Amino acid sequence: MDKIAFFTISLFTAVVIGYVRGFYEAPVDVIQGQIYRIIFLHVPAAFCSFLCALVLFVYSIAALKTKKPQHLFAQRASTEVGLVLTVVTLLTGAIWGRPTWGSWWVWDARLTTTLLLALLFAGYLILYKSSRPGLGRLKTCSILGIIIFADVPIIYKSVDWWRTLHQGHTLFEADKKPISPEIETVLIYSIVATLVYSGWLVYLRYRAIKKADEVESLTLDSVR
Amino acid sequence: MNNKASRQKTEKDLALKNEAPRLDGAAELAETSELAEFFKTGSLVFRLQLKSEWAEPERMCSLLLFSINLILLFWFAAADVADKFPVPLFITQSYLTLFVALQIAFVRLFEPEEADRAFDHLVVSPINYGAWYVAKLMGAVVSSLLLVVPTVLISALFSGESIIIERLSSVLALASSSAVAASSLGVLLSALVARVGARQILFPLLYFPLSAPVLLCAVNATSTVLSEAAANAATNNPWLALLAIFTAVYFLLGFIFYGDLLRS
Repeated sequence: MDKIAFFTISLFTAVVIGYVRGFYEAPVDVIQGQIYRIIFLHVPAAFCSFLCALVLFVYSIAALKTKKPQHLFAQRASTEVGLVLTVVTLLTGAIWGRPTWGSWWVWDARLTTTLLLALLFAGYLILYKSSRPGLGRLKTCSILGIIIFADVPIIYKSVDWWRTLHQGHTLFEADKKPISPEIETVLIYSIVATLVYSGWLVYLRYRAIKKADEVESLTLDSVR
Repeated sequence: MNNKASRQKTEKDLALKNEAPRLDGAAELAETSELAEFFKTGSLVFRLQLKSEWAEPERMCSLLLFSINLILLFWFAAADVADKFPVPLFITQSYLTLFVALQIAFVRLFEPEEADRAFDHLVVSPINYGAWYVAKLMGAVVSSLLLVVPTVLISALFSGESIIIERLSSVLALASSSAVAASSLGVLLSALVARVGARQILFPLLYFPLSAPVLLCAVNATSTVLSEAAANAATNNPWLALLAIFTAVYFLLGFIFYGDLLRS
């Protein structure tokens, strides 16, 4: 087995262990019952999707400064993974919301702005594909990456700014945490495992995009 | 030899002495010139833009007619519930109409320059891009306000609700503020997609998600103003602060990146 396959399987296994712990180790929630266990998929996916937006932002700044195409590839990789994670967040949120709020979807501030983030990720990929390769694409995509990141704080602060059905801040409240220590432990494990796995996925996509670009440039060179 | 060396030294000292006062004032003069150049470029581009808009009045008329059509369609569709929820309906259809119409206006923002082939000349010329952005933004704001005022007035007329008529000036002020925020974003995104092939598809896909916070602020601020118990809603409105923040953020992003986007 080569290293790539080994790491992919190992990291995915670590993520699955988080779900298994969530089912067997974490206690049942007093109010929501068993359905709350989707938290171990929903919250890590949401957390990692915001981090993908941060990675997009960082590489957007780097690309504008250095004009290196590798930074653009990293942007695209993080956007693709971020889009998948955002969709997972929305789907799991809908599944959780149905028995909890009585509806698959509500126009809650956090849900709405997470959907907006998914649309913006999709818009970035469309812009990437629509633009001709070169410095122009690097600049326009990098600037859009910076604009997209401006949306992420709004999502995070939405619970504070708008009246909302969504759960308030859970993990980073020093005074009175609305979560039991057992659930918190498993949740933090799930977040870390998903974070590492997402980072690995971004790296794999980056490698693939870079290779595809090299092949394309070789093909063009041979045609010329 | 010594005389020649000393003569050269004297000439050098004299040159430095004469130059020194000029160096002290040169920096100030350059700064003033740069600022004057900024305003000169900005006002020129702004006047040209207004001129091109007025040269083709059908551009503005078509948007106004589009807005009126949307308002009519909306009231037809909501006829059964219009009496039950007049104020929320007024707010919803006014802002939806405005944002959709503004989106069309922003997609066409660079059409006058492209039609005259002035766009490529402007991009390669040593123009101050910051001034160009500010001028373009001011032109977009003027066009937006020409759309906002009739749209809100017609919506208020169709709603027939007394509280809307009473507080119409506040509503107009809020709608105008949201149009300024939307214009900041619209000019930025127009520059972003100016050279992209799928502009007609890509612009709405980027514009609507990014303008959603502005829309939320505008709707909530107007709801506060039009609520029955609102005492000092016009001045004590937290949504106004949020709207101002978004306007500042989009303006700053546009000012910084406008040149890079057009040169790319």
